[in-house]
Amino acid sequence: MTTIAPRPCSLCLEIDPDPQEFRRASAWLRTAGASLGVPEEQIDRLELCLNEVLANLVEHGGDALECHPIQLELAASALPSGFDVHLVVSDRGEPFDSGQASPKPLPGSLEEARPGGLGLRLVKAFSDDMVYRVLEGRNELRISINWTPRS
Amino acid sequence: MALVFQGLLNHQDLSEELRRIWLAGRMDMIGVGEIELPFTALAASRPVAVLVDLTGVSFLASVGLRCIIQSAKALDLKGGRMALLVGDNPLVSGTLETVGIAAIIPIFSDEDAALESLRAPAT
Repeated sequence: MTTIAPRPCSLCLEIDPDPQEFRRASAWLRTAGASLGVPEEQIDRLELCLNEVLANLVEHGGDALECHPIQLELAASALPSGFDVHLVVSDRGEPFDSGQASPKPLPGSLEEARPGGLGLRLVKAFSDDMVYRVLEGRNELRISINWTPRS
Repeated sequence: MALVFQGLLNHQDLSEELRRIWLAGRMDMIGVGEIELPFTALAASRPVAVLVDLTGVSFLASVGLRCIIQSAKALDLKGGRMALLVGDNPLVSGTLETVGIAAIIPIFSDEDAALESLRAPAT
């Protein structure tokens, strides 16, 4: 497989905190990722992370989230060891550091399986790094995915 | 035996004891919202073996996984059992592996193996 270096640039989108907006966000991510030169399989990973983070925000973000748009920023860059694409999700919902939260243990049987907690496990598994901070009253979650020309 | 078309959700009773359900498209919040009720009704209404065919699913989020797990649990309580068919869909199979679904619902990439497993007596 051949991989070209992504173009250093960043692209932004604002969406309402509404599940009806998730597909618009996904479509933007795929278009923006392609325009930055991010390989499709890395965009697939990031798209799943984006959907899980947005779903978590809508479910747990609280009343404050509803009055303010969610801001998305996608940027790609070259690293010494490969390439990086990162997505920043910024919102005014309830603070939640998903990078520090632990996913529930995997169930050993169907009886033990409980709904919930799967999204966080997926984001942690499909991303390479998550950094959370609060900046000027907004939560910022930066999700990074790295790849090498052969990965 | 008729194949019932309902857009993102189709099903066919292969026998009295074996039902196949096809899911297709994006299993995100919108997609799952559209199929959750009919899927649960089809998957968990009778104590039968149910093959859920995910080969046509282009995107599987945790909300879709929850829907499948809850239906599998309901089916199990009724005395039935479920298996998942993923074919060569790497995104879906990767998502299923990440959350450890294989430990609770059998996953197959081969259709014949999946059907054979469900036709075999429950152990």
